[in-house]
Amino acid sequence: MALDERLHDELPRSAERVQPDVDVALERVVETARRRQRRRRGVGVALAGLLLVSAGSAAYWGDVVHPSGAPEPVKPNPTTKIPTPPNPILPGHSAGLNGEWQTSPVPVGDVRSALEAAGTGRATTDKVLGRARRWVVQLTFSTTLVVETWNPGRPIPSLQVNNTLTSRVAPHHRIVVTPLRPTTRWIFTYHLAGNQLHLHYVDTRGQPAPVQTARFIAWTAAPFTLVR
Amino acid sequence: MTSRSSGTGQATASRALEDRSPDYSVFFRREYARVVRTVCLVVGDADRAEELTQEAFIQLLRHWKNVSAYDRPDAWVRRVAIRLAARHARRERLRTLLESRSAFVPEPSECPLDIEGALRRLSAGQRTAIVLHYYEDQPVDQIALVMECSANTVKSHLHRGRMALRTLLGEERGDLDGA
Repeated sequence: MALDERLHDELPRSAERVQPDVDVALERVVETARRRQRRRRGVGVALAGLLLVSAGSAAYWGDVVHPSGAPEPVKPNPTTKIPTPPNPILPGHSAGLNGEWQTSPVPVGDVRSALEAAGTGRATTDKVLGRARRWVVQLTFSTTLVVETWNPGRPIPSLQVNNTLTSRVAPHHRIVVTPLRPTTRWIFTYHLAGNQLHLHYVDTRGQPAPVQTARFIAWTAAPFTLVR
Repeated sequence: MTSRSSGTGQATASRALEDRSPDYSVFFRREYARVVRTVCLVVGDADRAEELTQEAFIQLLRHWKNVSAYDRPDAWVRRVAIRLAARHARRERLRTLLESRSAFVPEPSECPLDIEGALRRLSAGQRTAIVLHYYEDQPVDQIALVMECSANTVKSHLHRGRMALRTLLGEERGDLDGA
């Protein structure tokens, strides 16, 4: 028997021997999803606790939000450098940003303009945008910042998820985004108008890959709408 | 800031399933076995295939609100599952190669393997392409989409996979290369 025929003939037979228990599998999937959801919540609580305990180290960032939500008043002293008192980052400071924010499908030209306006080179821009014509970005502000992007123009959108970031609201309407292992950070200013969130890229501290920064800058191409 | 899940309040996954995704369980029952079978051909292990498929369906549950609006949510979950399977197959093969400390070169076996045994000895890319092409009857461009590579790469995987299978199965050349 020719190989092609043999493959057409024998592969379905091999596959049919697999008879999964669908009910058990469904139960397991739901249970695992539930467990992960609980764990995410648990991690959130743990992180919030950790942030409270180690608030002193927050001075590392230099622009921690005061519990009142207003910037800490600065009292300059020419002789002694007084360290900023540690301010706990309490959950709820960024209450206005909580939830899932999603752009509409953004024409790639808009993204390109945003990248170029931020000084991104052509090669990097091309690397980020690939052959996409439109794309969608979704930011979920949580204890971590979950970023999901997909190309809505493809028949089966390819979802890219980055859940290795944290975000923090800083004074002067700034959002500071850092990787979980903070070697760098990206700073945006934000503007909230009703259920719309506008981001404006300010700068990057540290030395991330240009492509990585360009992906962040691309968030500024369109306003986000609160979806949940 | 709250977690992503807190966007849905305290709802558990199962409640979310009942309240927000009534179609999910219907979809799951319809598609699950089919996806497991394809994945099983790629990874060559039924238990592992179930684990990987379930992972894909967990991701689907998380994104059900968006994905269910697509024309082909089945294609989405199949694609995720196959990518997970291909990644697993690649890792397993690498592990095997490292353990044997020698590159695999298909040689005619003294006792010819069956199709499943022969498939397991192909590279992950070749195996995935062969399964999608011969079991799922997917055209080359669709396979390229799933595997995130060019159509030419898929053709190359198919061609080399067939060559290796012939050797492994102890077959003479003579049949035509399809794609």
